[in-house]
Amino acid sequence: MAAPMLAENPPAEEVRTVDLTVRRAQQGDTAAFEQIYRANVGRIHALCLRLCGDPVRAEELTQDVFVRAWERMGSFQGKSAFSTWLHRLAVNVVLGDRRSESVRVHRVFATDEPEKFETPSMRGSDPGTAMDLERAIATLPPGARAVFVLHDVEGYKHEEIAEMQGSAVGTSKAQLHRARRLLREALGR
Amino acid sequence: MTHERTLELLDDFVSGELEPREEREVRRHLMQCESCRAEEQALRALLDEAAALPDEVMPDDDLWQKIAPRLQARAAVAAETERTPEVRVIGPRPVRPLPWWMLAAASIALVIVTSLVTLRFAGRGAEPVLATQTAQPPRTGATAGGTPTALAAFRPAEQEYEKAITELQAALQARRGQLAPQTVATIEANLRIIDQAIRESRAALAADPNRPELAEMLSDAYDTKLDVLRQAVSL
Repeated sequence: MAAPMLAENPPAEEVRTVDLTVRRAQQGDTAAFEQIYRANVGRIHALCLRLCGDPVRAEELTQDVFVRAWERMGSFQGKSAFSTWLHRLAVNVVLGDRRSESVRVHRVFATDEPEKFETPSMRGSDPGTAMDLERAIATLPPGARAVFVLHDVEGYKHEEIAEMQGSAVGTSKAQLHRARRLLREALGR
Repeated sequence: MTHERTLELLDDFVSGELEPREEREVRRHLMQCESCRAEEQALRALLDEAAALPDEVMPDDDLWQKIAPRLQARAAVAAETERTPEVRVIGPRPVRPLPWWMLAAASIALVIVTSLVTLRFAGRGAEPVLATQTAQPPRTGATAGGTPTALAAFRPAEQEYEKAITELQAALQARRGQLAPQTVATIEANLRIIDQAIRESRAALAADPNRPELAEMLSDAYDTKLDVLRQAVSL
């Protein structure tokens, strides 16, 4: 896989390259947008997979995120890092999907496909431990799972999560407590 | 600080989200209490694992092949953007004041569903919930094996719900004078229905404290109450 184009603290040269790529994509250059896709797809897919708990739906949502990003490239003004903008857009797409999903059809968690969490491209942790936790996260109730992923994996604050979900801070805290308890039970700790 | 209060605050403590005074008190209690310390260590281990999850998980397929055909030409997209110049990337769900009859219908449906499930789970072919409420033996909050019951495990979450509800009710009370009497009456009627759903779900859980589905249902009823209160406060 390509080196992360939109890392947290990239060197100045890399920032300029990203700026140029984003600008080209804003002007309608699909080749530039493909570069953006390739640099970010792993992170966005990981987020979608953990938030929705369904590998098939996660791939659909990942596609939706990039199509939405393309449509909204014009609204990116460079006030935050592009990766931050894209990440937040992805959270919005998945949470929006969950809200509309809840009034359409109740999806069954695809936890019978644990191999989806064992892909060789997972990096940075002990594979066995990470897979156990990934599987346990996928079995959480949707509300608790979303708060756990956003708070404990992605590092959002309760206030931000409450704002994203249109709920109270107390609700976010209650869901996090529930998620942690269920995960510890699932992992036998 | 008491043992129970420490456990309530532990989630915020390990997340570093406590006020300095409370953080000091929790820390002091942890120094003296071995079981709370074990709880804290288990939580921290879980958080360490979560933080160590891989940043990237690649999809099985090259999704670009499916994305590329969906991308409209930039000129068309630009024209669309001009019509909606301000695109909010993230933010609260748009406040969509629902007609009160819809809320009432939803609440009534909730009560009906709750009642049905209450009878199904708590009754279990025996006596209905209201009869079992008075006949239950004292509960310890744990099963014979020492595992916390669903009821006991839900208690901290319930306290968070109650806290959030109290805050919203105070906000609603402050706005009460600005609302039409008819609106206030409708809100109160809806809240009564939801409170009934909460009472029934709670009674069902008390009657069968080892059933996590009932805790889930109680949680849903609290969520509904919070939604109604939030809507009322935003009127």
